[in-house]
Amino acid sequence: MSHKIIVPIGPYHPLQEEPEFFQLYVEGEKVVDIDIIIGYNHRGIEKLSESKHFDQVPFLVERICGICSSSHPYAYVLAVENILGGEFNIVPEKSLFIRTIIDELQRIHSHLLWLGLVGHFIGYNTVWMWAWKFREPVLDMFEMVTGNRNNYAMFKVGGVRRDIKDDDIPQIKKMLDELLPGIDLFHGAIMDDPIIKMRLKDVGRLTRQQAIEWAVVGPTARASGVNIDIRRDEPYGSSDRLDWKVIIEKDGDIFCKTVVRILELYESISLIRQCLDKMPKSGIIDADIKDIPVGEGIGRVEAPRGECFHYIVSDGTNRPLRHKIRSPSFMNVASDKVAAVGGTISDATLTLAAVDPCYCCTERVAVINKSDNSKIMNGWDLIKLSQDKTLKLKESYYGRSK
Amino acid sequence: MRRPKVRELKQALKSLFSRPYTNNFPVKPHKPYERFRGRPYFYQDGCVGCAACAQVCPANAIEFIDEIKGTLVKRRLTVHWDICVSCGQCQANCLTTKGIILSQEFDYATTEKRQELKQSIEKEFIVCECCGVPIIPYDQYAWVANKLGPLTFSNASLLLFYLRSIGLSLKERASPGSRSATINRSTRTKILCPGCRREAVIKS
Ligand code: SF4
Ligand code: SF4
Repeated sequence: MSHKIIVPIGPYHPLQEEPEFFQLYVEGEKVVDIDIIIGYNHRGIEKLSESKHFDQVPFLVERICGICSSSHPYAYVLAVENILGGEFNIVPEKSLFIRTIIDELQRIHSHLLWLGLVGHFIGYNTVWMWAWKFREPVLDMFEMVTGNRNNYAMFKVGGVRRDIKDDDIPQIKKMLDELLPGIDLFHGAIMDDPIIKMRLKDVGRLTRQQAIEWAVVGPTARASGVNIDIRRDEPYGSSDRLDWKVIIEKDGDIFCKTVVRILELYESISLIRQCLDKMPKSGIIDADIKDIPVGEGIGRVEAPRGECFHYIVSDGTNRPLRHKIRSPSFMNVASDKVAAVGGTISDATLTLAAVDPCYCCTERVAVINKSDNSKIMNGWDLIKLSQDKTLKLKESYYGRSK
Repeated sequence: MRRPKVRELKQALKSLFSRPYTNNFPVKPHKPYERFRGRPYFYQDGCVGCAACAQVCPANAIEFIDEIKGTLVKRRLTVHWDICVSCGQCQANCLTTKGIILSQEFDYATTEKRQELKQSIEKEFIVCECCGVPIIPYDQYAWVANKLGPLTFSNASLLLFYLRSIGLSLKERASPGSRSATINRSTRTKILCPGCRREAVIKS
């Protein structure tokens, strides 16, 4: 006990999407326990939402998270449409396709961002730069279609706010085509680069049983072999009319999580293409809903990180009476308790990042010696530790002289 | 085993012989896409002062204050750019569709205080010619009269306003708070607030 060191990872920082505080208990190199404390950045979104009109809430909830800023409004409008009789019954045909396009574009940019971060953590800053480079055209597509690179302001109860113009379609298709070689590059890098494989394989493993017990969602669950995807299990938008498959891997380590996300990028691109082809050329995009009747409804959306859940109670006025939100990272972050324990401290950053919380927090990780509370390392040192491990692997693989 | 190296080398060479991926931003100005949602601006000519935009703004970035300035009542509409989230709701719900329009400006940076990041326009009110209570902005009344066309005949104040605006009736302007003497039959030929209108109709 005397030489057990506590490594607090964490921060509360207003810029962060999901501020968490991790306290790693380490013995030498090995992580023996981990404490996860969340709730530092309570913004009162649910309460705030109850003071806004039904039409204003999407703008609020899309600011919950800057990365999945279409999943939250989508889940919200689904919840309200649930009260009104279901998305498929009231939303015009064309809007369903536009909604799926926005949702999938968002998945692409979110997964690319995650790939870049993982590249950075393991010391492959080239991957980081590539990811950002290929993400850029996706954000451009957003700007072209929705008018902004983030916070798209597209979702509206009963439809969408902006149409995708016919002139835009060829350009979107062209941008998607240009994206494919980039993703191939990542796919190649992950699948046949021996160093990346060695660095990510068997690290931060979450078995299928553990994944079910800890109720993880999204790619984190699918990498462990749990076959869930809201897009298939409870279709929304146009996902039931398109041809795609749910990506499942078995091992649950970071390598699998990476593979799942990369393969999902291909699926997303194919989904968007099918949407663009099948989308009606003309037609209304908004059902013009004015009143929300009394009732309660739920909305579930497969966000890039997993199931995003919204619950709405309406009392017949123009504001929600109750708005409950459960975001996917809330479920996933807890699984670090099993995934990170047993690994080394240099793998910890990677494991914590693998569930894809917004990870600017590692910047302020500190390693503190428990006996005299002295600081040993800060966040950059921890990332450095992780990067050094890759370097060592590289050297031992290629030989010191290369 | 050497494949990864070849692939990386190929990328590196490609990057070496292509132009920098980043933009030379401050030197070469960035041009956003056509439908980019930027900073919103009020337009004095297009806006009629109905304040619908202030009602729908999710960020409460639009503020309106009705105030007495000398002999006039004015509604001052202010859009606070430091609060605005460029959502476009104001433009989408504008009564005239030309009152507030989102520009393509994305750069909000300023050396001034954030409170200075705003734009205001003022709209003059019609006041009741009997009791001096402000009723509605002039422009909005004109917009409604124009929109209703022949239906303006169903509302005395609106009809009077319309006749005056095309020069068929005497132009007079009441000032706020000026209480005219008594309400009698001739009061009915004035622009009145609903309360005075009711009183005038009953008394005459
Ligand atoms: S763009 Fe949105 S936030 Fe800005 S003033 Fe208009 S409605 Fe308000
Ligand atoms: S006319 Fe348009 S800009 Fe002017 S107050 Fe009304 S809604 Fe706002």
